[in-house]
Amino acid sequence: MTTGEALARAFADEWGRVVAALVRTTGDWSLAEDAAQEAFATAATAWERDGVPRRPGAWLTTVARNRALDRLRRGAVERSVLATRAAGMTEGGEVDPIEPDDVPDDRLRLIFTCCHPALGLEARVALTLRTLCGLSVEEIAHALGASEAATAKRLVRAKQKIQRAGIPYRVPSGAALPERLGAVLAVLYLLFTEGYAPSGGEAVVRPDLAAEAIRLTEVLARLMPDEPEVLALLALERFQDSRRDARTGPDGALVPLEEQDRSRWSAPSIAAGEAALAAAERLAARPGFQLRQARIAALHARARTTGRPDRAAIAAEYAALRSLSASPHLALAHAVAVGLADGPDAGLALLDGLPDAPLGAALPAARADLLRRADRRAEAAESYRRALGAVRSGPERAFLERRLRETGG
Amino acid sequence: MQYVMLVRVDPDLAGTVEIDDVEPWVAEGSRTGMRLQGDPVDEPATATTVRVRDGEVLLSDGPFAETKEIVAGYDLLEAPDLERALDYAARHPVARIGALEVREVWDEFVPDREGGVPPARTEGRDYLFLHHPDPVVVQRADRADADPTAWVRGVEDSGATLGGARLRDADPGTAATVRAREEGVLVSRGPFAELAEEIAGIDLIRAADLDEAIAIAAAHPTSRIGAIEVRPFPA
Repeated sequence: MTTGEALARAFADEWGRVVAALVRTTGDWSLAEDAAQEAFATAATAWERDGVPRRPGAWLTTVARNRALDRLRRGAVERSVLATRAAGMTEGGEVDPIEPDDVPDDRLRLIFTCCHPALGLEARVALTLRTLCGLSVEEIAHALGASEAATAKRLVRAKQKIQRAGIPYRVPSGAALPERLGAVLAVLYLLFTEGYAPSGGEAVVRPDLAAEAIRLTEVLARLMPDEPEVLALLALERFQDSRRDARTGPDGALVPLEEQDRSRWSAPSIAAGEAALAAAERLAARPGFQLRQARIAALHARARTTGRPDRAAIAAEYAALRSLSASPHLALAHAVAVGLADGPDAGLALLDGLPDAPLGAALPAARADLLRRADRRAEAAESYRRALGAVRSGPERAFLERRLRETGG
Repeated sequence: MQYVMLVRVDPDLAGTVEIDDVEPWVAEGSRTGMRLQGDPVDEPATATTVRVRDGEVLLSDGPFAETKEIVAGYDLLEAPDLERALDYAARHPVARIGALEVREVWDEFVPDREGGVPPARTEGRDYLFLHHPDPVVVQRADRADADPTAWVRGVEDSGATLGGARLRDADPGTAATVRAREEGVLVSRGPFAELAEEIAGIDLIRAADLDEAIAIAAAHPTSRIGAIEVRPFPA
C-alpha cells in the first residue's frame, strides 16, 4: 500500500473517530475539525518520510489532540471554559498514543448530536457530511446543490446552535432512544437517497453520497449491534444500491424498475442486503419502520432470480407501514403497490384521497402511470403533462416526456 | 400591578441605527422599583420550537414565527397601571430599533403553592419559554386538559423553574406595544399586531441541557394546543 492509499483509507476509517474524540475533549466543534485537518496534512508528509504507523488512527488522534492543545495555548487562553477543559488534557507523544478504541462511544455521540432534531434537516445532513464523513464545504455544497457560502453559513449556525442552545453531546437513553434513533436513520437514508436519486440537477446517481451513507450506516450498525432498525436500514440501502448500474440507460435516462436489465443488478450487494435483513429479522421483536422498508426492497431484489416480484406481499408491507407513519409519500407508494397488485383501478381509488401539495410531481406521475396501465391513454397523457409541470430533476423529466410520447400526448 | 415586557428587535433596523446602552434604563428601574428582573436571550438562530401532536414530540429549528420584530429578551415590570409601565418602556433604547410589547400579568391564573416554592437548582442552563397557544385549538380544547397547574407544581418540585407568568388576553386595557421612531413615540393598544397567535405566557426554566428543556416544554399543555418556543439565555 502506498502512502497515498494508506492516507485515503485512514481518512475514510478514522476522520469521524478523530473528530469525535476531539469534540469530547475540547467541546469545540470547529477546533476539532481544524485539528483533524491538520493531523491529516501532517500525516501526508510524516508517513511519506517515516512510513505508515502501525496504528494510523491512534497516530492521527494523538497528533490532532496536540494540535488542538497548541491552538488553545496560543490563542484561546482567555476563553476560560476551553482553557479549563484543556487543563484536563495531557500532552501525549509517540510513547503513549491515544487509542480511539478506548472510547468506543465517541462516534456514536457525534452521530446523535449531528442528527439532533432541534437542528434543521439540511443542517443535520451538512453537519453529518462535514464532521463524520470529512467532506469539505465545497464538496457538500456540490453534493446538496447549494452554494458554498450558504453551506458554510449553515454549518457555522448549526455548530453555534449546538453550543449555545446546549444540545448535549450524548447518546440518548431510555424512552428517548427509539425516537432519536429514528431521526438518525432518517438523516442517513436522506443522505443515501440524495446520492441515489438527487432531487435536482442532471446526474441520476452521485456515487459518493450513497457510498458515504452506506459506510456510515455500517459504522452505526457496528456501534449499535443490537438495533434491528439500523441493520434494516443497511439492508434497504444495499438492496437499492444493487440497482445503481441498471437504473440509467446508455443515454443517462432513468430506467423504471420493471424495464431494468435485472442481470445488471449487483448480486454481491443483494447478498449483503439479505444478510443484514436476516440479522435484523432475528433481532426485531416486532417489525419497525426500516425493517418493513427493507422487506419491500428485498421483495423487489428477489425478482432478479424469480423473474417477477411478489406484488401482493409488497402491497401488504406498504399497508403495514402506513400504520407506522402518516407520511403522504408512503401513502402514495402504498397506492401504487396496490395498483400493481390488484389492478390500476384499486390504486387510482387510493390516490384520489391524497393531498396534492406535499407530493409535488410524484402524485400526477403515479396517477399517470396507473392510468397508462389501465389503458386510459388520454387521461394518462393529461396527468403526465401535469407531472411535467412540477418536476425538478432532469432525468425524471426526460422519463416523463418519454412516457407522454408513448401515451400519444 | 406586574407587567411582562417583551423586548423585540427588528434586525433590519438593528443593523442601521445606533442605540444607547441599556444600563441607565436598568438603573432607573432599579431605583424606582419599576424593573423587578429581566435578561436578554440568545439569537433567534439558537431557538427551538416544540409541539406535541398525537403524543409525538415535533421540533423545529428557529423561532415560532418569522415576525419582523423578534423577541430578544424580557423584563418584569411593576407599575401602578399600564400607562406608567408604557411610559417607562418607551425609554428603553430598543424602542428605536424594534418594539416593546407590554402585557399585564394574570397573577391568579395558577394558584400560589402552599408553604412556598422549593429552592431552584443551582446547576444548569437557563431557557426562556414563550407560550404560543393556537387560539382556534384553545376554543375547542378541554379546559382541564389545558390547565398548567400540575406542570407548574412539577417544575417547582424538580427545582427547574426560576419563575413564570401567565399573561392576560391582549386588549387595549391589558396590552400595548411602544416604538420610538423619528416621528416620535408610537403606541399601539391591544394585541401585538403582527401575530395572530399572541404570546400567552413565559417561563424561566433551568435544565441540564436542551434535551431536558425540550422534555419539560413537551410536558406543558401549550405544546399540545399550540407551540412553545425555547430560547436559551446566553451562557
